[in-house]
Amino acid sequence: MIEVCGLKKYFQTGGMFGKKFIKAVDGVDFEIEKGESLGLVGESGCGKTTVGRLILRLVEPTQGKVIIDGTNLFELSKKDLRKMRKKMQIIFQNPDASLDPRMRIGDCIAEPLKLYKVVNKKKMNDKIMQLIETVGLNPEHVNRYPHELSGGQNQRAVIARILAINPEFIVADEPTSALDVNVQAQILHIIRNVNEKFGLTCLFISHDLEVIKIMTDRVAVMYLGKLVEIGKTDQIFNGTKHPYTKALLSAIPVVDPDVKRKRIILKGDMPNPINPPSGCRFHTRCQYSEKICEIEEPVLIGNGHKVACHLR
Amino acid sequence: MTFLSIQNLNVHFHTEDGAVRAVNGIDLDIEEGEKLGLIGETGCGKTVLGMAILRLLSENTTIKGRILYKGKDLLTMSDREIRRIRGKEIAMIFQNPLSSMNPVLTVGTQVAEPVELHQHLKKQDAMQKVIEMIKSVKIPSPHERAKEYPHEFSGGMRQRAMIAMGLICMPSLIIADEPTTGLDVTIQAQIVELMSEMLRDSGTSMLLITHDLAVAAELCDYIAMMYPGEIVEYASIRDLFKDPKHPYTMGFLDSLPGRGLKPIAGLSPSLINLPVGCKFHPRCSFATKRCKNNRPELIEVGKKHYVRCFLYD
Amino acid sequence: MSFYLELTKNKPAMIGVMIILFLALIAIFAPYIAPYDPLELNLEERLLPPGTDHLMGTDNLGRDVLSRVLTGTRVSLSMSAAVVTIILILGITIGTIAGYFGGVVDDIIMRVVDVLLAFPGIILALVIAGLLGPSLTNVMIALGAIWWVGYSRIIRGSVLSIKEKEFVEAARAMGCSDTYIVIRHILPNVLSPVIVLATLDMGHIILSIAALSFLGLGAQPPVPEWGTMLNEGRPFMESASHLMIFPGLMIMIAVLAFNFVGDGLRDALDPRMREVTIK
Repeated sequence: MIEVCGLKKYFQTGGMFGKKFIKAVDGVDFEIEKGESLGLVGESGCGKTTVGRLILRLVEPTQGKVIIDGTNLFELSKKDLRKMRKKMQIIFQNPDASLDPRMRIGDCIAEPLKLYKVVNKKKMNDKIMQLIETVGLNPEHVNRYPHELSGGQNQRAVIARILAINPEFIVADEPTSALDVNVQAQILHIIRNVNEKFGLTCLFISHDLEVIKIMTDRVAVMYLGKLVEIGKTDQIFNGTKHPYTKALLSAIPVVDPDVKRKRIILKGDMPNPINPPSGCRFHTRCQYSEKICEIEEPVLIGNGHKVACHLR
Repeated sequence: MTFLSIQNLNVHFHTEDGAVRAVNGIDLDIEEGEKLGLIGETGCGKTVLGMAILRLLSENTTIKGRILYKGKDLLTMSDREIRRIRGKEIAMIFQNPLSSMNPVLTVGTQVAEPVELHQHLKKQDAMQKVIEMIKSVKIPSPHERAKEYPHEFSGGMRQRAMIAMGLICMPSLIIADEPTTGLDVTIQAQIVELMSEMLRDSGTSMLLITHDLAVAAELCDYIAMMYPGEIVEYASIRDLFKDPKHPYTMGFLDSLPGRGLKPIAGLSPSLINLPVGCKFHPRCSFATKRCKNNRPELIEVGKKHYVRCFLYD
Repeated sequence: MSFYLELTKNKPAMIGVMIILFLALIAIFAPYIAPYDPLELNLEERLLPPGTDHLMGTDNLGRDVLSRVLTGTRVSLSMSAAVVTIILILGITIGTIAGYFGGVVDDIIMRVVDVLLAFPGIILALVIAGLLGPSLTNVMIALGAIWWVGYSRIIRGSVLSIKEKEFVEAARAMGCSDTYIVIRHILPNVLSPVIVLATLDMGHIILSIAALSFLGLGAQPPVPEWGTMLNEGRPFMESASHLMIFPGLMIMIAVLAFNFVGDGLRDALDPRMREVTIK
């Protein structure tokens, strides 16, 4: 259903003297099947949030295509783009900032209903109540302001609002990172139920691997603007082929005191995206790095389970 | 004599909307060299507890109870006495290093502050110690880095700098408030390894305040589960994981992604409007009439394993 | 919104509100309350000190000062309100356009703003009023033409920061048009500081109109405007000081009232915002 080809986004920085480019996304290709949930994992600075914005054209690309149901998103006129927007929605990370602080929750949810004339005025209230129930809010929340509700409740309101217009594709950008563990569980359940019930296609962006494991069918791992591995969730978690993914997985803290895990500690910090390392971007921190890794950039190859590494 | 003994601590804030009862009758002990993890969700009062120990809370709070450090009550000490303890004997590592550090002072100056204050060293000697400390928290090129400003450091490095600041005077007790929250997974791993190493080598005691049970599991010997205002379970990390007794603990473990992501229904109560009786009863599947009306006491259910629940009383 | 409740706790602000209401009532009912016709000459009763017949005395043409002061309230308040309205409309519109669309549009607008701000306001107003010819309308135009600049800067700043907030991005993702987003989402969130500023500026504008009139550029005699009255009373500063004292007092009271309310609004807004973020 969704095809991303050669997607690039460079942010310009630096003043009059010496323009520099932050290569946030530097050539990314992947596909998402209809009804599928693809996870996009990586640490801060890897570009996953930018990919999420690009795929909805909330940000203009430097290069590349995003093809949704046969149409290239970036070739649409402003008017057609707005029509397209009805099909695709996004859940942001910070629920308190995602809602207009001056609008009541009920009005927030009514907004898309009015904009797209989904229901007439008489049925508006019923539809809002229906949505409220789907996400587990109470009727009295409709009259409250966002700052009067908790983060979890606000995120539910955000989901209700998105569902109002029956989208086909949603991007969930770290939807629970700002929430407590228990609330996280509640919200993730709602997202999963909603995805199943309405057959939604989903791009689930997160840095939390355990969440990704549960919420996705396939996973793509990003590092410094590029995809390093992509495959079925099962394949990635139980049979990863890329050293970075291995390190990521080993870094997840585990509660079970009996599990003695050998942690792979990466050296140093993430390199600067203005000047990514030559060859394979990960080579500066990779424990298996060899000469070829410094010189030549590996390509994402494979059948179903793809990896970008010279030492596969 | 217990190293740190918190006895029947109550901390209430007075606000326009009512009294915020952040800490209600908490008893907690930390032995010398022991590492205790204080686990709870946002708004349960755990940070308040941590700050209360060093008397860092603002004026409009009512604090009752005792906090005995090596036998002396921290709450009744004079300002001068408590200042001598802060940073030197008991140090705090705050969360969110970017806002916890002064943006206009170099990192070196800030790490030097505790030493200059407590050990009255001259600038050069202090800097010497600072460089050593920065080296031991594994920040590369310590000489150059010390002259940089906090915003020039990455998140992980800032956290290391905070740890350096906390440990430089070699305190006997470290209070670490969410030291890994907000950091990337791989950086978190680095910080956890670092803290584990440093604490092991120096034998410092630690009170780790966090909502991340997994991080606490790696760094601590004992865990205290906090539910708005009170401790509901206290056990070794093994006992807590293998044999959780309190329904909240069980629910908490089940809600972790690694355990199936089963949420506990409902929301944590606000500290202004705490329920009567057992604070957890509105969400507890085992709640009885007794739970609604009476507050359970903390009772021993195993070796150094305590629960606050009528299921065991 | 509930922050207005906060305002009621601020005593000086509430006193200010009452004074303003009182002045507004005077302005509305001036013709009915004034004991005499403010324009009526009575050359036999010139320069009388305050007494039982004329509570504030009479001026050099025998006109009742009290009546003139009361009518002057109407002139001063309504003119100031008109100027503030012009300023707000211009400032908000231009500031929002600059902030929301950015780029070249923003650059051009901001350069114009910078140039205008470089001139001392009153001097510029003097020049414009002087060029257009002395009259109250021209003073209004002059003040309106230069005062909007500061507002546009503030609004632009607020718009810039609100524009980046997630709820605006969410609105865009929802498919809302730019116009809709500006009116429905951005404006309600940037107006608060501007309301405070406008309230405080009412005082300044009253003063400016009075000053310009005092200098002879604004209200022309025989219109009873406080500033003009001050000017007319100047030659009699020592012999019949009441001619300057009463209009002067009125200016002071009005300006003070608006200052109190403005400060109160600002205080009510700030802690409210702080309170909202600490959860």
